[in-house]
Amino acid sequence: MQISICDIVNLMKNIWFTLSDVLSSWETVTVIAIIILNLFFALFFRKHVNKKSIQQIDFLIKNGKYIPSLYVELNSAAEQLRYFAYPHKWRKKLIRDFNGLFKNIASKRIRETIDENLILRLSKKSNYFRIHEAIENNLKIFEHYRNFPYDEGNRIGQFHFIIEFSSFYYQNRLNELMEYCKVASQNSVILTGSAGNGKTNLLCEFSKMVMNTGNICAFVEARKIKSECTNYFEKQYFTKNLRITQTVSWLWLQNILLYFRRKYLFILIDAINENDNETFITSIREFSNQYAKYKKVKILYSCRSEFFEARYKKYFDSTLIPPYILNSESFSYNLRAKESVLNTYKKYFRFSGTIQGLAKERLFESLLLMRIFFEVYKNDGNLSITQLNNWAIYKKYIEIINKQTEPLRFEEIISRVAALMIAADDYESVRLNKLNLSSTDRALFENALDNNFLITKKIMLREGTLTEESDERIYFVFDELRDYCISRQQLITCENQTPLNYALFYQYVDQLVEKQQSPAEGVLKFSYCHFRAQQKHVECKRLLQDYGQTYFHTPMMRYDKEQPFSSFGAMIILTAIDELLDFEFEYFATISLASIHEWQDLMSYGLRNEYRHNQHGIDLLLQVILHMARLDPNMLKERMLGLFSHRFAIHNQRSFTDQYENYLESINEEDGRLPIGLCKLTIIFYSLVPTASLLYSYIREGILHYPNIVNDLILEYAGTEIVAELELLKKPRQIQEPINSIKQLFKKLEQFNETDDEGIIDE
Amino acid sequence: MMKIRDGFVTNSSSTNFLIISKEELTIDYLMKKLGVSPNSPIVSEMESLCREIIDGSQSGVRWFNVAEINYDTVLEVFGQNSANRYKELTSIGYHAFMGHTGSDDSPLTSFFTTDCFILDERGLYIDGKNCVW
Amino acid sequence: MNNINYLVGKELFFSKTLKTSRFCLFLYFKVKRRSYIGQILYRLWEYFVKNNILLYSEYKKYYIREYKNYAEYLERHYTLPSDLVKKILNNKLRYKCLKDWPDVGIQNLVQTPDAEIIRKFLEFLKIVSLENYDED
Repeated sequence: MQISICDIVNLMKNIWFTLSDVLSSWETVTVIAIIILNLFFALFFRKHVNKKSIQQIDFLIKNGKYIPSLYVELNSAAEQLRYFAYPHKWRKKLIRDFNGLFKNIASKRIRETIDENLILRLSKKSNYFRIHEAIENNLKIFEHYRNFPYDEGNRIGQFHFIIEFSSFYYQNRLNELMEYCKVASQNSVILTGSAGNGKTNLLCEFSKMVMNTGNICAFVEARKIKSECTNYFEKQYFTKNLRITQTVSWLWLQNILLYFRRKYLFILIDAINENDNETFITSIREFSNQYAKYKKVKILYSCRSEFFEARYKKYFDSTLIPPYILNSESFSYNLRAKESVLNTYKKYFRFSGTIQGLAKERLFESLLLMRIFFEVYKNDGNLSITQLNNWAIYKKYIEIINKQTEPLRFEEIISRVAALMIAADDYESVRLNKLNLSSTDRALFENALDNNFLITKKIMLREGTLTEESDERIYFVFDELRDYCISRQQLITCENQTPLNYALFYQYVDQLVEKQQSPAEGVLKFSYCHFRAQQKHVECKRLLQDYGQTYFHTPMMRYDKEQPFSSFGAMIILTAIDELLDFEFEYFATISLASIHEWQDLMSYGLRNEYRHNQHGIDLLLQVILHMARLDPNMLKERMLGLFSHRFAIHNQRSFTDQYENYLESINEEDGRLPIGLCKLTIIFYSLVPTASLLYSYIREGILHYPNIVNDLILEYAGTEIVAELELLKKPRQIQEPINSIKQLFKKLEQFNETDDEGIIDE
Repeated sequence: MMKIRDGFVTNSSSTNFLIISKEELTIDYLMKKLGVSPNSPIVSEMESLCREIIDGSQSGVRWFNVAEINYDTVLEVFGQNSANRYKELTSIGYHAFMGHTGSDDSPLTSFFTTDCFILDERGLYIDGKNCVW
Repeated sequence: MNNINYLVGKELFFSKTLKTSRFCLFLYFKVKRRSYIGQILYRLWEYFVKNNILLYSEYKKYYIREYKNYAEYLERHYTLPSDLVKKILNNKLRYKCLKDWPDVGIQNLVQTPDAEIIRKFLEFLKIVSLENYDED
């Protein structure tokens, strides 16, 4: 088609005339005026909204809900939120990480061998849809090969072992990338997590981050929203102060402006669970739907996980585009992050004491307990903590909360919850209504629930006519605290009787143990600590004797990740934080003499603690061995031989001598020389077990460092049969000729292996 | 302190290999063919790998009853490709060895056992596709 | 320039130099590039070095508005102790996360205790392993 110059001139003329017609009309002038006005306000909008958010953050800082110096980037939740905030910029990072995963020989081999559909590379221009597709495709392939595809065996031969195992790593990484991809392409996200998990901290940091990068951020606490969600934002942010009539057109305009500026409007609503207003809860759906229309508006909610499933999930599920749920609990923390949290807390709470050994390990198991610990011991100077007394921490923390929540008697309410649990024989939770609180107390209590880490509210999902109000239940965050309260409740009842009579208590414990109810272990543990603190050793012995060998179906001591002993009695004893008493060593000696498993557990526990400089190290072992020597020296020798026997070596894939030598070597390297306790133990091994002569060089070194060591040992073991063996060591010839002992050893070992029926069960 | 392996280390396993070599198997020859020079920093590790391969080749294959190495036994244990290669190479005077190594041997031998590969170089052919973990 | 590289848990912080490059790898170990052992060494090199991130450019590109400075980025984003950050701080520092590397054979070899080849490889890359910061 040909266009002549005349045509173009005519066209331009027409455009000119139409334009001048339009411009002359008053309506158009008004429209343009409104647009210019809106543009003018839009420029100030960011400043206005961000200013309010900064005020909100300051308010949270003032209330102690957000402590900036306590913020530690613990896991990938923060990274996911970055993808949420900057989807365009971070897309390239995602593509780079995807390509990086497959840019190696292993991936190429897999593609050549198994599947040509495996995507190894994405182009830099791929959009989120394409990235999602690629990740999904590869995940499917690895899922297939992970499920033992025997039918593929003929095609790929034994290479399927390699694919099967590497699929694990690929899937791990791909799932992570998939999360990033999903969160980046979403416009609304819900951050869930338990109390004290750091949600508010994360949200505050997030809002600061997006404001720093020129975005608009409206950050609000949910409890401040008294009306409908949409109304609240219209009034507070969009219309009231700026006198703009139509929120919808206003948002539409903002959306366009943000599009050109490549920025976003973030709406952050913190702790939606803290707002019980029915209007607010039901308006969430409408709010989400209305804002989902604007691509440049992103919404981030936070909610306690225990409320989310029961109360809020259904509202979000019914929205047009259900939000992405980011569970901040599903990530694991590494040791470094925990160390970093500990140091940050130390600094913030001005705690200048030292935390070591088992206490540190315990705190690392629960970050919430760590927080409580520091709240309790803040400003403490000269404290050196090696083992934690959890119930003392809870007790002090309850006192703190008591003061904070005056005139409400928080401690009394906790006791009441425990009493209700005992009465109902239900240790999960207690209905809030059953506490019979007055309306003022109830309001105070509800406030206390939001501000403590010990007890919290949960909404139980129930079908039927019951209203939600009646389904609110109180439960303990820590099972340990519940058990403490329950045992205290029971003990107080018994101790108030005259004369003192624990029959009721034992009856209750018997019932718990018989039914294998969850507080059984905790109640036994705390009552033992209680009796011990009051020096009622008879009761302690009774507990050990009656319940020491009880087997619980629940994981032993749920709060202990490491279970050093299979004997419950041993576990109870180890909860004591000060020096062990004579009857406790005796208990260890008795169980070690009775079972080789307990004996091995004890040895590895003691040596491990010694290596980590923890309490209950070599001293525990020496004391127990001394008691064993007094109780049954022959059995002690047998146990020692058991350690060095080939059965031990088969069971543990390495001989004990080997392990022990390695262990001595590493301690020697670290400390320069062996501590006296270890030397003593080595000498005892040497004198009782012929194989131990392989440890000869360490003994010689030990005697050089501590010349009186053998004499000391003889004094300690006076009156036992072991003395004779120890006396032999005094003769220098015996020490210098280890080969003789090795010959003896084989003879003895042969005898031992023939007679040892109990041995170690090959599993 | 004792280190614990946290990877996919399952029970000890052993797998079969086939070596077709131009010369008799010696440590020096294998080292040369596997690509290590005598003054390499990892020469001792490689020596133990080669020694264990040679030892393994003398103790025969596992899981199969193989009285002597011929086309059929190679086909049965290692498949068509290796059988063809065996036919081809033995016809020009190469020596064939079958054996097995275990995952409990030295680290490199353990790697050799669990890796799935075929090495086809001038003067040396190794079928290490068997890789039970 | 800092020549020591640190393996913190399963994360490697290192500087790239010609001496630790792929080309010097075969020269250092005196092996043939296309041989069996050459392939193993290359896979090991991939495990430790390939697909690393240049931390300074990463910081400038993605995190500059969030952290006050580069040192703070290293300290907070990677939760590194400040004394270690002082040691490793330089603009050419690279990062490689060894977790979830898909080459299982190499993963297993690296985890074998007392493997001479791994010890030599760490020597070649001048890597010091910080056991105290081991992964959970």
